Amino acid sequence: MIKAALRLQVRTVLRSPARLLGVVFVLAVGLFVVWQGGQDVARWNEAIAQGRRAEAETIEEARALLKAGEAGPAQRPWVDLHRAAWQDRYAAVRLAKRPAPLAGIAFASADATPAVQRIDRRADPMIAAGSRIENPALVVTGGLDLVTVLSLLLPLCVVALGVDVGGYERASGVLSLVRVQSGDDLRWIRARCIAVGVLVAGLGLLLVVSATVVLGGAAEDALRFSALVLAYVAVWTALMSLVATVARHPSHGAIALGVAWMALCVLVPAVAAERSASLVAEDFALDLTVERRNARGRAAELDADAVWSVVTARFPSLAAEATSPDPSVADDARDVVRLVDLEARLGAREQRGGAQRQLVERASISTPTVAFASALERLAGRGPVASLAFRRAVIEAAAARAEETLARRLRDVPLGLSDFDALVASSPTHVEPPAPGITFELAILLGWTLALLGAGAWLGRRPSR
Amino acid sequence: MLGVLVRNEWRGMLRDGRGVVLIALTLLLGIGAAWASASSHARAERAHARATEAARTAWNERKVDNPHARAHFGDFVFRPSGPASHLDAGVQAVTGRVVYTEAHRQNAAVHRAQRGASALLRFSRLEPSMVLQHLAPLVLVLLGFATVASERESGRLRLHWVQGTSMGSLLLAKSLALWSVGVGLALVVLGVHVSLAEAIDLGRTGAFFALHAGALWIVAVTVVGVSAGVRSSGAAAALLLALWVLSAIVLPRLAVMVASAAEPLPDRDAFAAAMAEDRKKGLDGHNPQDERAKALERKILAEYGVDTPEELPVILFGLLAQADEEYGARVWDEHFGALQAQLRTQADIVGTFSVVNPLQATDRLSMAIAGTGLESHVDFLRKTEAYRRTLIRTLNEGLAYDVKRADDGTLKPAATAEFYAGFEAFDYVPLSLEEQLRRRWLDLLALLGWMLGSTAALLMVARRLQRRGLT
Repeated sequence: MIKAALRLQVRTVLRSPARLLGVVFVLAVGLFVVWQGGQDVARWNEAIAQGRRAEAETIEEARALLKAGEAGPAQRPWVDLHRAAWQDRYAAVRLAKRPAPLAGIAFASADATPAVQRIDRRADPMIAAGSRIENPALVVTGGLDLVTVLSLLLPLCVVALGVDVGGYERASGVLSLVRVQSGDDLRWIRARCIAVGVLVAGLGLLLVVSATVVLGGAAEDALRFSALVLAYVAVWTALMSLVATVARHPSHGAIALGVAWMALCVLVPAVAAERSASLVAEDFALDLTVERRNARGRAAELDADAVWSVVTARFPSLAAEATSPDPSVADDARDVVRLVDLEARLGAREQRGGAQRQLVERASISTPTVAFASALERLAGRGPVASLAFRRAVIEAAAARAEETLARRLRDVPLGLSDFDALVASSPTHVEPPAPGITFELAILLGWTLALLGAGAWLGRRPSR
Repeated sequence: MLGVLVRNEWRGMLRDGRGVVLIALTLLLGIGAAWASASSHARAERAHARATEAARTAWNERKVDNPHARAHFGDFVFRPSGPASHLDAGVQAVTGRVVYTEAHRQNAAVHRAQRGASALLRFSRLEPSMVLQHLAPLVLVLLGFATVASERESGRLRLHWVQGTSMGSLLLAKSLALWSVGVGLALVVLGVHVSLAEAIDLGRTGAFFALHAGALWIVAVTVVGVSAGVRSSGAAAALLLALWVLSAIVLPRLAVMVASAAEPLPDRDAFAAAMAEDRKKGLDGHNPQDERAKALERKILAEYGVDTPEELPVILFGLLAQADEEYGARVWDEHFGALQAQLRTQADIVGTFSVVNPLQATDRLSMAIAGTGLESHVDFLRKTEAYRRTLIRTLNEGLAYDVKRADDGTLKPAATAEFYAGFEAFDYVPLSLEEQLRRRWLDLLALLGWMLGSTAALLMVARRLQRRGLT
C-alpha cells in the first residue's frame, strides 16, 4: 500500500505545477544557502589565516631583534624584549576558533566571538565582537541559512504535499471505496502520509548530503545531521497524519496544517523570543564596561601586600618564587588582579547566560522547530555554547600567560630568544568546536512524534470518526 | 446599503464560533504582546538611566588627572531605546547597546545581550508590530478566505445577484467588515500600549496606526478578492495561506539572501586591518620619534617663534594628540563611511522587495516610525562619534592650553575638577519622524500603490462577477 501511495504522491507532485514549483523552490534555495555557507566558512578560514599572518609578523620582528641583540625597534626606545612583559606582548599568538565541519549550515546565527583573538596576559574576550560585520537591517529579518530552510521550509513542504490527504478522500467519497475494498481506510491515509514523509525526507537528505559534501563534513556529522532531519520530518509527518485522520475536506486540512505550522514555527518561537528579549531588557553590560573599568582602577590602587595575596591565591606556585616580592613587581602583578576580576565576570556572565539557555530548552520542548534549529546550531558549532567555550579558552590562555610572565619577572633574569620561543610554543593556537550533543533535541523530536502518532491513533479509533 | 452589508458580515462573523474564538485569541495575544513590550521597555529605560548615571558618576568621581589620561579613561555611551521602540524594537534586538568612546579609536557598538539565546534570534519577537504585521493578516485570512467562496458554493451569491445587489458594494462591504476586525485589533493593541507606556509620542503612535490600518486594508481586500476569484473555499484557503507564508516569511528572507550575495560585507578583521594600514600612514600620537610628529612639532615651534618645546606656552603633546585624532577621523570617516554606504545599499536591495511585498514595506516603515530602523542605528553611531570627537578634542585642547608653569619651569596641565565636571553626558536626540519617513519614500509609495492597486483589482473582480453572472 505504501508503494502505491508513494507512486500516487510522486504523480501528484509531478502533475501539480504549484507543488512541483514549491519543491523545486525549497531545493534551489537550500542549495544556494549551502553554497553561501561554504563561502562563509571560507571567509572564517581566511580570517584565521589573516590572524596567523599578523601573528607571524610580530613574532618574526621580535625574533629578528633578539637575534640581533637589540632590545626593541629603534623608533620605540621604551620596548625591552629582554623583559617578561614585552616578550608577552610580542609573542602575539592568535587563538583561533576553528569552524566545525558543518559550520556553514548555520551561518546566519548570532556569533558573539571573533574567529581569532590575540593572546597576552591582558587578553579580554568579554566585549569582543564577532568576526563578521553584520547589517542589522538584514539580521533582524532572521537570516536565511540551511537551518532556516530546513526548520521553516521543510515543514511547509509537508504541509504543501499533504494538505489534501484524508480530506480529499473523505470529501470525494474515495475513502468509502477504500474501506469496502481493504477493510481499513486508515491504512491508506497513513500510507499516503508516509509517502509524503518519504518524499520530504528525501528532499531533506538531499540537502544534508549537499551540505556535507560542499562543507566537507565527516560521515559522523552527516549521520547526526540526517538523524535530526529525519526526526524533524517524522514530527511533521505525524502531525499531518493526525490532521488527515480527522479532516473532512481538503480545506480543513489546509487550515489545520497551516495553523499548526504558524503556531509551531512562528507563534511559539515568537513568544519565546519576546521572553528572551525581556530577560535581557535591563542588561546594559555595566559589569563589562563601567564596573570593569572601575575594578581596573581599584587594582591600580591596591597596595603591594594586597596584590601579592591575590596573586598567591590565584597562582599558589608563584608563592614559591618569592616570599616577599620586590614592590616594583607589584605593578606587573596587578595584571593578575585584573585577571581574577575577569574570571569572576566570566562566571557571572555564564550564570546570566544560563537563564537564556534554560529558556531555549523550554522553548525546544514547546515546539519542535526551536529544538531542531537549536540542535542544528550546536551541530554547526555556533551559538552560545561555542562562544562560551572560546571565551573560556581565551581566559585560560591569558591566565597561563599572566602566571608565566609574573614568574619570569620574579626571577628577574634578562630573557633571550630561547625564552621568547618557549613562550610562543607554550601558547595554545586554536580551540576546537565543542562536541555537538543532540540527544536532548532528538528525544524531544521523538517525544513529539510519538505523542502525535498516539493522538492520531486515538482519534482514528473514535466511533464518531 | 454598504452599511447594511457590513453589519451583515459582522453578524456572520460573530455567529461563527470559530471566528469569535480566533478574534478573542488574537486579541489576547495582542494585549499580551503590548503589555510585555511596554514592561520590557520600561525596565530597559530605567536600566539605561542607571547605566548612564553609573558612567557619569565614574567620570565625575575620578580623581583629577591628566586630560590625556582622562581621554584614555573615556566614556561609555549606552544606546537609548527608540522613541517608540515598544511598538517595534526593529534592529535594536540585534545591535550592540554600548559604545566605548576613547582616545585614538572609533569603537563599534558592542554587547548584544540576546545572543545567549541565538536559536531564538532567528524568529520574530511577539511585539505589537509582529501582531499587526504577521498575526493580524493571518487572522484576516482565516476569517475571510471563505467569505465569498462559501456563498458561491451555497448559492447565496446568486441570490444576492438576483436581488440586484451590486457586486462591487458586496465585495467592498466584505472587505470593510474584515478590515474593521484588523483595525479593531490595532486599536486594542495601541490602546493597551497608550495606557501602559510611561511616555507617549502621539505623532509616532498615530503614524503607526495609520500605517497598519493601510496595510490591513491591502490584506482585507486581497483576501476578499481571492475568495471571490477562485472557485472553492479550499482553494482560496490554500492560496491565501501560501501568500501569507510567502510575504511574511519567505520573501523577506529571500530579500536578505539576495542583498547579502549582491553586496557582501567585509570581515571585521579585514576591515580593521585596512583601517589600521591607513592609520599607520598618519601621525602616531604616542611616538615622539615619528617623522610626521617631528614635522608638526617644527611647524608649531615656528608658529610660536621658539626653538624648543620647553619654551612653548602650550603643552606640545596635546597638540600632537589632537592632530593625530584629526587624521584618524579622516581615516574612520572614509572606512566607516564606505561601510555605512554598503549597509544602506543592502537595505535598499531589500527595500526593492517592498514593491512586490507590501508586508515588507510595512515592516520597514514601521521601524522608521518607531525610530528603530537602520537609519536610526547609523544616526546613533554617527552622533556618538561626534560626541567622542568633541570630548577628545576638548580634553586635548585642555591639555595643550590649560596649563600652569611648575616651580621647575616645566608646563603642567592645570585641569581642575570643575573642568571635568563641565563635560555633559551624551544625550541622543533621535531623527524626527518626518526625516525618517522622507528616507522611506519608496516604501511609502509601494504601500500606497498596493492600496490603490488591490482596491482596483477587487473592483475588477466584482465587475467580472457582475458580468459573468457568478458562474
